[in-house]
Amino acid sequence: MVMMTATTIATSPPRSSRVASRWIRPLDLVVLGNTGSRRLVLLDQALAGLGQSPARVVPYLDYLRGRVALADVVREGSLVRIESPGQDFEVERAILAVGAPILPAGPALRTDPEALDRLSCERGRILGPKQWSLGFAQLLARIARDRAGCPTHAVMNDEASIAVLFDKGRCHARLDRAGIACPRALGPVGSYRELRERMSRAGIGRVFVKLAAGSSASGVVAFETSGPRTQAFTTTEMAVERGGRLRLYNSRRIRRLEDEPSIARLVDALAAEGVHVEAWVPKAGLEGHVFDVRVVVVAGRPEHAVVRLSHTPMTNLHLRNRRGDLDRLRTRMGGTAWEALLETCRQTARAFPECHYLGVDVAVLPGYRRHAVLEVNAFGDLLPGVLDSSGRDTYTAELEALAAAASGSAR
Amino acid sequence: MSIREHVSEFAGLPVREYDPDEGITDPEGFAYRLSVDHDAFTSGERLTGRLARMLEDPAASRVRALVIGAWEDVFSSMSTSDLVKALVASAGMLPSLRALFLGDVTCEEAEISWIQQSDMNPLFDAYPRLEHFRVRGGSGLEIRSLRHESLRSLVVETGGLDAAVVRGIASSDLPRLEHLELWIGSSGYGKTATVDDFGPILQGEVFPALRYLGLRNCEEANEMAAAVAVAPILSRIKVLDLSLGDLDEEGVMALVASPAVARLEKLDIHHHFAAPEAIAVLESLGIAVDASEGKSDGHDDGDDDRYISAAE
Repeated sequence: MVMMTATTIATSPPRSSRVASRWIRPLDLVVLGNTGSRRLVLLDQALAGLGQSPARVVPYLDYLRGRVALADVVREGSLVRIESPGQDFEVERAILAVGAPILPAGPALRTDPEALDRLSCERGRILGPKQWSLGFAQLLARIARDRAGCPTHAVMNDEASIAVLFDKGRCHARLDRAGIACPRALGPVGSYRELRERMSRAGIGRVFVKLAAGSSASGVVAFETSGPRTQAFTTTEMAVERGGRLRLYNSRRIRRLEDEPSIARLVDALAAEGVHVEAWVPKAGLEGHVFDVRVVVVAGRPEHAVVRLSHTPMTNLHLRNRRGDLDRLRTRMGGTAWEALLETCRQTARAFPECHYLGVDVAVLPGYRRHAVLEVNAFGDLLPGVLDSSGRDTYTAELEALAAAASGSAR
Repeated sequence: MSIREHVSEFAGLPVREYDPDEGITDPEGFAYRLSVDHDAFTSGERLTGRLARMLEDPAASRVRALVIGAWEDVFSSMSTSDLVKALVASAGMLPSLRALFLGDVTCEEAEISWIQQSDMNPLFDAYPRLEHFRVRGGSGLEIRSLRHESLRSLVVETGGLDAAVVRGIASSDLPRLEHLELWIGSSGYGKTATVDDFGPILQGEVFPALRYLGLRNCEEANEMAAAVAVAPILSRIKVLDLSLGDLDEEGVMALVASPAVARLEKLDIHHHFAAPEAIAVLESLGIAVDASEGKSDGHDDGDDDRYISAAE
């Protein structure tokens, strides 16, 4: 196996993805996903490029409603891919319904199935994140059970790993145990008051508060305090219902809060749903922005990377942030520091041996020498247009690596 | 205006982080940067310690430019007073120092208005041959009336400029000062300076060598623009910089109406809120104008901003 060097990532011209340039064995890919999602479209494009048949899709909605059984779909030798269930309100409601009976007292939303059916889609609304995460964990457990009853097959990322990756506290603990550089965690907190106590005990003035099961910067607050001053940046928009209840929305417009009562109210609302808190490590700047790097590791190899520039502490690209110049970053960092970053990504992948692919978000610290892993994403391979040195997108690289592994030629 | 990147160049020299293991390799060719990040701080390092280590290097006596980045606990309100003391005490070992930047700290390390500065006057006294001085952070900052024969550029970057600092500078005797750049900031972050405090500067009573005047990052920039547009100083300077503020059409029109503005070499108002029509008038004056980063077409705060999150 040839280890890709740093300078080859995503710098080569694209190869036509429709031409099968090398033969791989026929794949029978079964995907749990949301019909019509962009992820499935790109995946099918990659399959077509490799001369493969389209994936056979098990829509989450059908699966959740018991209309499709995995045992009827998964065959001997199939390859199962568990995709993101996001971006589909019907599926979101169905997952919330799974979570409803097991939701402990505390979190704001406990909605029974009938009420859930009446719930209409409100764009960006953060609906019962705790309930959703419990429902999603149940869903993953059910997929694992159902797969156990299927003929021998392979899975790209297994349910247990996805469950860990969807719990920021557990994910952080695993990284920490593996000796991977990441921001210091302050553990879960139940309220703003507890957050402040925890921060002052730890001597940490700046933290990220994140919904424990959140993704896409949903329910994230970058909070800082010094002396009597407090300040928070957040993707969360608060709206007060009649009767004083708080509704939370994801917003692309990053809000800056300076009055402590508002900050406390927001943190309290998120903490009731379960949050992970960690030190806010300063990120380096590039092109007048702060940035981090999303690296996709496929079969242990970090070959796709994108620089995410931001004017705020949140770097997620869907927040009107933009991609930066990877070559410029590598030049600025120098070969040694960049290679160390890639090695951390490999190390992160080794901490999740049952995952074929992972999206690793890495902050480069001011000075460009050191770095820290901020997040690891189970569904972090959606990087349209980002190619490796062989001109492959993430999906093509994943499929080729699997085919090669299955035919015993590498890995 | 947030600062997200460290300087890569200072006083015409590329910036290089001082590495004790590497030493000072090219004291004339680089501006050396000293900083202590959080990890180094946790392992007991201090910026004054880094400075002491650097001064042990014989080449320190040839260092021309020094950039002080984040010091230990820059975030937790630790002021620069001890640092200033250490720099003052080191003056004898830094005889070639001509340029000093105290506070190359990004918003990710500490917001500009949270940086705790201190009294700068001892530095000017200790380094009479200093030509370039730049400081970031307005809280606790003191610059009292001073006399300095060598200073050619003075840059004070704040999120809120104290009136006493403006008065101190405006009453200083700086015969060689060519570049004066003041980031005025907003009252929410400690700005107490008013247009009147800039009187002696705008009247042209001080700084005979001035070529560049920057009144940047200014809240109520229209008022400042109106005052500058009719100020005698305009006939002496080449470059007027009102960038990074909240300037809109009103301020732009005041500038357009001034014959002195049309005689400048350059006007910089980048990061402004003026409509394109007003900018077009300004650009027809025939001088160099930087009116980039117009903000008048900002996003509405509406439902369009909301995004779907789950499991993406």
